[in-house]
Amino acid sequence: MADPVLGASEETRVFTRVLSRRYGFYTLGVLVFILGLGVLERMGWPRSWIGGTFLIATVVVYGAIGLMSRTTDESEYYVAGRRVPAVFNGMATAADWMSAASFIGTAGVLYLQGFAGLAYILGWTGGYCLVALLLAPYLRRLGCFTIPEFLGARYGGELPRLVGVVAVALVSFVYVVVQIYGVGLITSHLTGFSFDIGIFVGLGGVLVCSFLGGMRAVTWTQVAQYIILILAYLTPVVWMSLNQTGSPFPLFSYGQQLEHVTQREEVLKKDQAELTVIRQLQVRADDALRKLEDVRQAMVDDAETLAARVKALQARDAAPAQVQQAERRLLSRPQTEAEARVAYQQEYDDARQRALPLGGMPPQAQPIAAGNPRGDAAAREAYEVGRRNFLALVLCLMLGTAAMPHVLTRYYTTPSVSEARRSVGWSLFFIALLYLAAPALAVMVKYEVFTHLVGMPFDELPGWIRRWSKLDPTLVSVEDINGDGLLQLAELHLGGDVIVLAAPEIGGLPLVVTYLVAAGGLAAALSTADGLLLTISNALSHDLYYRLVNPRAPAMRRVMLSKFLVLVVALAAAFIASMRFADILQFVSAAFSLAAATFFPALVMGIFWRRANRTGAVLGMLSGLGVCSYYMVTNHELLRRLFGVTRPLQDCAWWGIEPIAAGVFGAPAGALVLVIASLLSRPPGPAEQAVVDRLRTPGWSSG
Amino acid sequence: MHEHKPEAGPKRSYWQRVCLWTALGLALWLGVTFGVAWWAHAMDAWRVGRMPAGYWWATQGAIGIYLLIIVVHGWLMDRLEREVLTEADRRHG
Repeated sequence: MADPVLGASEETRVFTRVLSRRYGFYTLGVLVFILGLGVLERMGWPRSWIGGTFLIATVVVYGAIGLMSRTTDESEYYVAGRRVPAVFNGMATAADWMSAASFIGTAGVLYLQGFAGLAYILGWTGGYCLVALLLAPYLRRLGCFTIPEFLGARYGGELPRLVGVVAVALVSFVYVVVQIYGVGLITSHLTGFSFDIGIFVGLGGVLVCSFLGGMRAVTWTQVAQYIILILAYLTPVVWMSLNQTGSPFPLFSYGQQLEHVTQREEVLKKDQAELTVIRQLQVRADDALRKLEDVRQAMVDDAETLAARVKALQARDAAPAQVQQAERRLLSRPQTEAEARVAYQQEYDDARQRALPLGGMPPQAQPIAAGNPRGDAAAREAYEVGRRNFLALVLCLMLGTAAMPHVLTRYYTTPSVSEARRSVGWSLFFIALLYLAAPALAVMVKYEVFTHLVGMPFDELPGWIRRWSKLDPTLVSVEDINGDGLLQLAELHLGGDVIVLAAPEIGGLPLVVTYLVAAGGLAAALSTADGLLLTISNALSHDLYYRLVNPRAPAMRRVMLSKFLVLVVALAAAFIASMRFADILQFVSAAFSLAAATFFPALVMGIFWRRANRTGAVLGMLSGLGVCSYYMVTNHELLRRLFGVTRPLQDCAWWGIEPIAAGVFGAPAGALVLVIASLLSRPPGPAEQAVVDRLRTPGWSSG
Repeated sequence: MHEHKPEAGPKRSYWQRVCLWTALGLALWLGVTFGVAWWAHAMDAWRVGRMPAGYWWATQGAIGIYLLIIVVHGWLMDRLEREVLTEADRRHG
């Protein structure tokens, strides 16, 4: 009979103690390593050596853990032998969950969008309530290896499983491409390698883990990666808080920085120099608009102006560098009409955006800054639309969180149902450590920029601005537009991704912290990529090959096939990432919407509604996916162009909701179709009924 | 023996009680989420510490409640399962 004591068994408790000791030593080692590099930095080590050491040391450690946990045993490979204690599974889930976008992007979004960015914080934490209450314990009770396997067991037949495999592959693949893009960005920043080489170096680290040891290796590496990533995130936040407020607890002290930022926002909005720059930017925008009206004529004019500039400089014997620069501009001007049109459009968009007050950033703490509930009719309407979009995005991210296959599979690895529940709590705790710090970081960076950087003479600007603008001008650029020799906020462009990566330099911390942060970002990207690759290849090998193609394949061959698929999927994702699509968060959110629409209704109803059957599940998943994709294609600018959608945007949008939150339409549509189709067809058979009984009976935890 | 039949009598069955507590947790979850997202502007009339209340709830308060929901729900579920299993033990033991 089942053990009436549901708490951790003796075995789990012993294992937890062993693991705590091991990871304690590991953490100590990491700290010694960082301090050692800090000392070496003082002694004058060059920056590329410090960066290289960080990259090589961390990837070697992850690889070594992967190597030590190599396995070909099926249960070890798919679910780490189901003995990962709640705390450690929580850490592994946190690393699995927090992607490059969470680590690098979140604080950047909060910096650029203010309150609107908090939708990500709320969505990505609140989703765990759904995981804990509706999914994790039940998935663990049935004890499968993959999410499609759960769908197959609950609904019977091959079709639900097949749809599940396709959706898992689709969702996780979109997500893994973004991770590998992040790996490339960070390794090139750490070492100065080119982006493409960066991708393949980082990929080596991923592959050693998931290739050799499957879930078992990924689990123990993810715990190690979590420790690095949280140290990397919290060190600059705590340090900056000490510098700015004198308190080591940013959570309680950054309120005063928020007050300062809000006051500075008011001052900067009325500042004369800022207003001059804004006027000049508006002139620039008008110029670009005029050029767009007659592109051909504008090209001729541009060529003449640039050639005249070169002549004038040569005539008055200007410095050779100046002449060269003018010649380069003449030579590099767009040659075809199409190119010129794109360039002018970009000029126009850029100038328009930067001519907005505060460089286009809404006030940090003001909710729905686009509108005003007490303003005129247009402002009220903007407020209502903004509020609807905020709520829609929050809900969409929550549903997506609760349906991400790579996170849900993590709860298969705990020793019991009760441990799975406890593990969700630990996951949220470890995740919250970062998400509570992100808004504080954004505010403190903004304080630094608003009070110290703005108004600084151009020749005294700190080194990080020059370094980053050379590395990637789309991330950082400055230009003395009004020619007063001082930096105005409107003259500074900071991309979102740079906020976290450059935070230590912005706050004036030692170089070693900069590289620690980059190593943390790398850990976040690698751990998520690991989990995703494994999820895709396990679904393909266990559910597609084993169940549908060759049911008599021995366990050994299934594991080998999964390993081979990890390699193939990783290379395919790296290839797509190397094409460099911009805007990292956009694509992550697409994955969330797709996961929410496809899996959430089928999984939750499978557990809580006995009458849900195969027809309903299949049609529900397909229609959720369909509605979600349809909404994204008709509303997302990039996809509209790709598919040639010509219907005007305002006719395509429902209640003005942005395509980023397409899941809020997909998930209810999927649920509705699931209910209707289930009721119209025969109830589930005895085998499926038995599965429902098992899901609802305590003490049942097989596997 | 693992077949579970709803018991007659004053006490609700295990599954009914699970559903009840889950529904309560979800209601709290939805309330907090909706409240923070919808009334953030109105809440800014108050302050928590030195932050506007809407901002504080969205950055810290809501996350605390989410964690609380998970921990309390987990504790209740453990207690329920233990109850059911010890009872089953007594009957079969």
